[in-house]
Amino acid sequence: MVKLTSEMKDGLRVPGKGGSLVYLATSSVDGKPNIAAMRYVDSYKDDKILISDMFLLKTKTNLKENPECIIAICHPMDSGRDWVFKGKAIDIEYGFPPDFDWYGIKAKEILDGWGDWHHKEPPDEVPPDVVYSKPAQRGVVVLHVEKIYSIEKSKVGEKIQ
Amino acid sequence: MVLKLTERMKAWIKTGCHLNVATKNGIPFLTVSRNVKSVSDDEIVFALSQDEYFVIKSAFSENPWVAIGVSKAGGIRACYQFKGKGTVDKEGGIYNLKVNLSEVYCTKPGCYAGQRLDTKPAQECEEWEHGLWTDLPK
Repeated sequence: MVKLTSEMKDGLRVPGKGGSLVYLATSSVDGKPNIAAMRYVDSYKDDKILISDMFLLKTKTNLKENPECIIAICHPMDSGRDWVFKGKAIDIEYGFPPDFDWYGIKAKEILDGWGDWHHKEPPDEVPPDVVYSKPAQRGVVVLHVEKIYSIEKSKVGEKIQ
Repeated sequence: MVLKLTERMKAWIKTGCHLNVATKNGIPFLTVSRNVKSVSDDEIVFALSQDEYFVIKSAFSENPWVAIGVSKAGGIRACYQFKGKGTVDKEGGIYNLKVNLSEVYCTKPGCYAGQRLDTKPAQECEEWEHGLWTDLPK
């Protein structure tokens, strides 16, 4: 059973709060991959990673047909945060029953805590031209982490947990 | 429409990329390429070390699709996603993963998220991009 370390939890926060930019990697059910960078990231309990659904398109489509998912550190790289987190993810959107369960967590606790992320942690650290003027959050992607491996130089693919 | 990467895209790709591949039934596997051997108008050759290649080898051997995002600061500044089908050749201890690109998307948060770029005429794409960004990697 995976247990995120405190170092990982520190790294899995929004960049301006000392965290990291991450890539969210998914696939259609017939194997067409997709990858997109995500800024709003956090961890929850010991085995969940959360990402805001503000502008997800293909990622959302993929997750609705195939929950297999990867979250990997994009920036910084080669500075001790070279992790890939793999497992199953769902986009918990507004309208889900409050007691909907995803590997031991409820929709309500996720949406209450991270459902208005832009106001909770406004993006004041990114250049003005990448700040969107009016975000509209539709849900929170929750990855249940089952494996962690490395993308550290010369150790890519090595199992961490 | 002929796919033609812009000079800015090429410059950012050369800084290194995250590569996502998947099995035929959709299990993703991710690796990184710290060394990009070449970038032409519609093709990228990644020079992968053995460990960088082996993590995707099994999935890639059954499904050639590759999705590509720029690593490090490129994840913020180079908001593109590139997709195509790849082949691999071994040269010494290096695995040259050649991807023939067929799709390019903008991933900038906001109204342009998901905008397909390879369907625009090359000149129009370049002008559109220039309206958003002009910076090159340092």
